[in-house]
Amino acid sequence: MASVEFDHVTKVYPNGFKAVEDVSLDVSDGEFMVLVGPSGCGKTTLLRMIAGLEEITTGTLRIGSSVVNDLSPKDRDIAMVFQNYALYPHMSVAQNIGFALRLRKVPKAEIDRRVREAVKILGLSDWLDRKPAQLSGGQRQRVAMGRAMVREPAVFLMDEPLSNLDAKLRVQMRAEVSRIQRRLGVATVYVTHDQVEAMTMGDRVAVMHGGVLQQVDSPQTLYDQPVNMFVASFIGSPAMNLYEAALEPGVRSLRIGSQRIELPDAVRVARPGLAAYGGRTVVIGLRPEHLRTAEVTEPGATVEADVELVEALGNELQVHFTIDARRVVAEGAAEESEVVQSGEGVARVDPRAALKPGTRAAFQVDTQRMQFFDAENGTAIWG
Amino acid sequence: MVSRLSRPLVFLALCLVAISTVYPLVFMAANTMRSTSAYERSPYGLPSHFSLGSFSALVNQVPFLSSLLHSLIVVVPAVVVATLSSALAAFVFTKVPVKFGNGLFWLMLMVMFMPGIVVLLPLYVEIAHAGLANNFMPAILIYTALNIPYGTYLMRANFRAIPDSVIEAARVDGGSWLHIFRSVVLPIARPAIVTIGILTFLNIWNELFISLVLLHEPSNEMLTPTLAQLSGRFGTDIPVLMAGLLLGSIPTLLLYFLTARVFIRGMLSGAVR
Repeated sequence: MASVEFDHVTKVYPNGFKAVEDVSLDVSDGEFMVLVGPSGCGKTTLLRMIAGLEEITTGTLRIGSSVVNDLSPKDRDIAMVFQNYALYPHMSVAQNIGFALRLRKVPKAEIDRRVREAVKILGLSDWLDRKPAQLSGGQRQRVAMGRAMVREPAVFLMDEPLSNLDAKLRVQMRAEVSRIQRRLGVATVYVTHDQVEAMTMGDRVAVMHGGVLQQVDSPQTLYDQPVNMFVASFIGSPAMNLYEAALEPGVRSLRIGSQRIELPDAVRVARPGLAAYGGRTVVIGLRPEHLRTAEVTEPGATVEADVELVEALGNELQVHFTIDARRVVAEGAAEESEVVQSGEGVARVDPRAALKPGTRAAFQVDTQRMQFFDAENGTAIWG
Repeated sequence: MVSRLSRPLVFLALCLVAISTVYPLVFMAANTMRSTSAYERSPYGLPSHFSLGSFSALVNQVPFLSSLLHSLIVVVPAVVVATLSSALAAFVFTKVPVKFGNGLFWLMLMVMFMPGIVVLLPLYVEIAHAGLANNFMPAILIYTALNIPYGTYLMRANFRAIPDSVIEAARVDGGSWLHIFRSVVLPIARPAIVTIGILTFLNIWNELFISLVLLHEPSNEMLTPTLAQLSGRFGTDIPVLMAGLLLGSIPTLLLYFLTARVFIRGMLSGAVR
């Protein structure tokens, strides 16, 4: 078992494309680190660099205490689970799982013991002689896990291992992968574009965008204290509502469209940096659950909006609304197909709230949990 | 989808194709059983009297059995080495990151497009200088070398279908390139390799010109020049020639029947597309 350390690592492809830019990241021994980000953000390249499948252009990569930049994959003591499982189609389940051990000339009895132990944990005991083509997607995924487990490697690498499974199986396997990782206690780097996987599985989550590491933190910290607009919009579903707002001099209130929201002292205490933004335009972030339906409108802490659509999910209502403010979309955070109209937003409210499309509703804003970002560079405003 | 109406037409067309393929074989087999005079009277239909005279005439007129043996001595190693080398080259060109890999591949393809005869004479001069004329080894090497580009070209298309991630998984599992080739690529691509092996066998087995130039002494003559001698300047004994051709195609047919299942899988999987 070992740690992984990226020290100012950059990857530039021969065509000049910079896939990873100056990444420094430590994964401690036994830690479950999730790399998350949209397609093309460099997360898989980073993972493949640990595996030795991509060369490092500049910087240093250490596994344990050794620099591994120039080591071939077989000499790195890592195991990897691939997105499409990459099972050997001509080998049985047992042969697939035991392949790496046979290459290392582990005695046959020991291979048998480890393979049987792995298939018992993974519930594959009845399928040992089957070929991959005769297995379901979930079973193939488990064989891929088994192949990595028996190695007892220093580091586990997983490249979107659940993305080919159906939704129900994905939830089940999510828990299973986390359980196996905790049981083995091996440092694990897990790549996903699914932020729910990232939030539920990772001890820490590293958010990437455009080849640059944006923030590395515990899932809760990422959610509560995103360092910039990209992280704020990428983490959380539905995404955080971002609007342009004008801070009034003295930062006692702000204007969002034609509406005014008062800011309590606690906001200014928590974010002393806001003082410098008095009289300027900033971007405010409101998580959908921080907008509650207000029976009695409290002046200075509510926004009025036109309800466009109400989706009942059973445990909550997702209310799509518009307000007369300019909505901001963080670059790269929204899906390309997503059409964002000016002033659109989403609120998650109590399922019993009486909201109908086409009506006007008032939402109470949890101002203490409101996020503030610099309108120019998108960074969060704190100290 | 084949509609109900067009189904009989398709069946008819397939029958015609099958007949046009099988008929020459039947014609050849039937005429080995006729005497020369019976052939001259009517070469078509089944013979009225069966005679094996053409086979004994064949063995008396030309050194058939020794030529067959010489052909096997040259063709078998050439096919094995050419097929394995083509597979290894195709593996490197598709899966191993090598500098100038594409350039090397196109350079190799140039050899494929070059007629064998262009390189044959310079090669023969060199071989003769080295005192190796009428020796099996240069023939084996030349047949091997001339067939590698063609085999590599066909196998490259097939190896591309093997997902890169399977090779990467084997690298991470601890395999060297050679081990990955042996334990992962060869078993996965077996149908394609067998198919291309058979096609290479056919290529070399049926080749006349190179064997005529390189091995021209009766003591090491291959089968095709021997059979060519049966076609005389002033007349050809067709039943004897047919007997030679029939016996000469037995190794090819045997190879096909032994590997038919894998061969058809290889053709269907696109080994030669």
